[in-house]
Amino acid sequence: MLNYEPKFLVFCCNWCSYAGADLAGVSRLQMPPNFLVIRVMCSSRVRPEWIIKALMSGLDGVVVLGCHPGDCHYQTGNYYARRRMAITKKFLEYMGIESQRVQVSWVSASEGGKFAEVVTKVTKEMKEIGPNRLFTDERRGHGVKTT
Amino acid sequence: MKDEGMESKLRSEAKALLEQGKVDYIIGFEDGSLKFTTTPLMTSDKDDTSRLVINPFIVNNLSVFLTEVMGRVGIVAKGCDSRSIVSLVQDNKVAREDVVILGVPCLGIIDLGKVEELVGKGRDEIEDIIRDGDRVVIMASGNKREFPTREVLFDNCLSCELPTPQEYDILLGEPTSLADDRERAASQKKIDSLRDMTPEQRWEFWTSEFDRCIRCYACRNVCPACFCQQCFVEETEPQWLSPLPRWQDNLMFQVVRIIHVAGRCTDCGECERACPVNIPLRSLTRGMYDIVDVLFHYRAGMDKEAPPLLATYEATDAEDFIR
Amino acid sequence: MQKIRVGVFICHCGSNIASVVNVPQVVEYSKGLPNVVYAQENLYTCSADGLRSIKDKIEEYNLNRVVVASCTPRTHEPLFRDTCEEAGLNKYLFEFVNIREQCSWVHMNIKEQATKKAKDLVKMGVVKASFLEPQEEVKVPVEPASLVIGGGIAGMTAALNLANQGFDVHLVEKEGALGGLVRRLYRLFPTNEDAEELIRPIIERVRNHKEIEIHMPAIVKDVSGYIGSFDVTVEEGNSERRFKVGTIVVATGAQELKPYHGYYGYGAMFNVLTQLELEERLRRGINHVENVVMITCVGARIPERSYCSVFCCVTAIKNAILLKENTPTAKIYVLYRELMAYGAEFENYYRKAMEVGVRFIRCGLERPPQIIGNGKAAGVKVYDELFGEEVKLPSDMVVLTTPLVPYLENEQISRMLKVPLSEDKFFLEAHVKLRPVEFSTEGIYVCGSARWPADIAECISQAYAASSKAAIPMRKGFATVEPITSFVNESICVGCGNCALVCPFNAIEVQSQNGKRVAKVTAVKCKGCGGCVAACPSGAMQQKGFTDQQVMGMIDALVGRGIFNAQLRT
Repeated sequence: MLNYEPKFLVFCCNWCSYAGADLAGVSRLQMPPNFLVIRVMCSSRVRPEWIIKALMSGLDGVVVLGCHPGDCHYQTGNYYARRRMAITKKFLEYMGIESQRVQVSWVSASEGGKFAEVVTKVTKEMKEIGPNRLFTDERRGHGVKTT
Repeated sequence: MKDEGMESKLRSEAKALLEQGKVDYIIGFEDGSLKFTTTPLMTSDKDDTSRLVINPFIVNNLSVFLTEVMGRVGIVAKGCDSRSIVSLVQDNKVAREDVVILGVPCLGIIDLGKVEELVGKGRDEIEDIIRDGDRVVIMASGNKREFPTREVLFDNCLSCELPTPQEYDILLGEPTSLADDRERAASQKKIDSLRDMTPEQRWEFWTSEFDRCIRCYACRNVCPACFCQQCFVEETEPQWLSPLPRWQDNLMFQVVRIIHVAGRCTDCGECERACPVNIPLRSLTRGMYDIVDVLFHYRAGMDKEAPPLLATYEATDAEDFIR
Repeated sequence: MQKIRVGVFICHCGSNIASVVNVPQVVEYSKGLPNVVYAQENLYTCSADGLRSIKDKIEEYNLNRVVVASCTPRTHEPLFRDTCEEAGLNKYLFEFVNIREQCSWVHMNIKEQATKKAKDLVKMGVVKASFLEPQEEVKVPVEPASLVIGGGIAGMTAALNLANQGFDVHLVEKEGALGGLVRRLYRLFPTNEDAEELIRPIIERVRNHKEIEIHMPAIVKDVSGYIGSFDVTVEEGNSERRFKVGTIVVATGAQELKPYHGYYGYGAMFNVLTQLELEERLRRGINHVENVVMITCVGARIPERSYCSVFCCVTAIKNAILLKENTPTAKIYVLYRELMAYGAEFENYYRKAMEVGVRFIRCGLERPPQIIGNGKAAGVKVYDELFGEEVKLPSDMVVLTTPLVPYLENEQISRMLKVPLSEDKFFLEAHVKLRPVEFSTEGIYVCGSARWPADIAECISQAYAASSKAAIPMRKGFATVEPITSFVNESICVGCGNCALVCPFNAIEVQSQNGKRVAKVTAVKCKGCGGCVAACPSGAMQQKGFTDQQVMGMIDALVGRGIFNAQLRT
């Protein structure tokens, strides 16, 4: 798909990945503008409903970032997030949603570079798979544009 | 052990439980109003226990009633049903000591639809269906035909992992075993055909299936693992789903529901049976069941002491999906 | 019902934001957003002018929500919240939008897209703010008593510092005597003063202090609670003691690594010993020793244990000097890979060692020294990297310089207090630079070698720091908990307990209420991770400041749905 600009969400946990994103900013690492960050306190707060609603609404993807296992500010939050995100992502893939649309990564507070890298790569992958038309009415021939 | 033997044992045990005041209610099966069906029986009257039946048509997962009934309950449970009971105990929805499990070693439940298709006759033209071990005899319009039992069992019975309850108070018969690997493969046919499709085809398939969904919530209502008092679909702040049965919302409803019951779903198949528009829901629930099995080596309802799937973790949990 | 009146303040941040994002355009855009009754730009919102403008406009426009779009909440959120409070607005009705670190600074060459993105972010911020509810900070009382775990130099210093300020201190020591590692030392670098003479007065002061209660030998068996009221159970002999403290200082120290049997001959040859064993011998008094070979980095800076234990080199230097003083004719060699002698004093110390005739031989990891001998180390063969040849040194004594390693008990203490360990299993501080003597868990502090190998000066500095930090909440008498805690809608909760299971702080309990099971959150224990919310399928559990309604509102606004649908312009 040419010349389409994806739009996707990045859920960042306050203590690690959000700080990592800030560090990327402080380091002036340039990235594509296609992502929008929503801050949560911990990756364990992220729920599958948000991800599915985001895709249903026409956003092209969702990225969930958390602390590396063992480093969670709340000790165990990211372990639970890991399980929840695993089944969410795999089940959506089983249904036929492109695997690139839901991604998870661990970014620590010191990994500004990794944040930039993840965002840049995800943007590129989104461009390659094209815009999210999964939930458009045209699919079922209903004609009415809703998203 | 023959079904009749189990049946008479069940009736006497159930009556005794009520007489001795060990339970307040008995939940089991009685003959349905249509041929080859059963219907749930819930009673506190010891005389009603004479109506209890055990036969190849006791299909329902009665554990769904446990969260509604107050007091102590004696409940008839096949292997799969007992797993649902254990799952409810894990989630503190039911106290183990409040339940007397009347375990039924199960040989599989007969799918009338498959029978009708095999003999090419409707229910009213079939006089009798008799299971005899691994053969089933069907009397229809005066003719007698025999088939291997596994050809008429429900798909999920073919891959049954626990025919005999391992959690029970009274076992009504000798333990049985069921599926061998060949049969397991047969039960997965529909699901495997999905896996053979491309992601695009799969999505196309499901969007068309959920076009038919009328959001009756029968799947949710019949599922024992759905124990919430207020379902997420009833939430208004935020409103997750439009109440209109648009296929997009129907799909989201089912996807979220299946994620919510991940680790609780025992693949009893009730959701698919309950669906009035025949959406092959088990192909979805089994997909999640397998994901949970492969990722976490966890099967719902096998260990009442185990914490619920998403309320625990291992340091070695899968990370291959993380970039 | 009060109408939401949002005020939006877009910051230039000098040119940090304004040189990329078209701030006036974003201001105009904000004015058109639903619920926004006022929007302006600021050159520096955090300046006195900027803060005053917020206060003035809150009053003038009767704002009941404030959105500031500028840098990152991690810098100025507390400041802007306090500003709102000064203007009479509940400080938790404020929302911060990051358009610098995560927008202007990373999209410097794509100004149009950056501006568009800033508009989207502000839109999301306005919706979030609209759904915010006023919150009260929870204040918890703080018991003016402290638990200090560990009676070494760090623990004793911390205990004295707290006790001198009038706080009660429970000092728990697992050995039978106070003093920790210092008690086993002979002399101290770089002054060569007597270790016992340094530590004895400190031990006396601790023993005689009426505010310090010593539990010894004893271990901390259980800790529950939270800052201000920790319930501590100590096992002393056969009995248990229970008491309440407001803060905890972890000063458990570390232990010397004992080389495994055979490592450089240790255990197999009677004259191979560690530096600490040498100190103990020196204390008892030794005869003349003519040939000594010391090896540094034994079990340190190797693949299995890659860290440097900071002061073992200096210890080797110290003991080398002492041995030379003991036997002036002795030939003393120190085999090193790199020599760690940080700071002017230690460089001079190193130089002094060379001046008195200690020889330093540089060797490498690939060709480690070899101990020659059977039952006794008779000599050491080593490849001298600077010389470029293998040399053979006679040895009457071989001294292995090993690092400090964490106690195995650290794992149990970490789990008991719910504080993290680093990869090396030392205790991990909240922030290596900004918060080096405390844990993220409030009310618990750490100092000394428990955190990282520390010499006496470091132990004392850190102990002063940790105990001073501990004194703050105890002096104030209360601690505040940020009200981003979770709460239960009891009418829809079914008491399944999944929330309680995932809570890392045991802040949730399922209780029986009117015959029904329902989850209850102890707000003071809740740290606001939100894991319980995601674990609740029905939505009974929500988190203040991060409710589903707020987050979904942001997503809905982004895609142009909900109440914002008809009124959006891009």
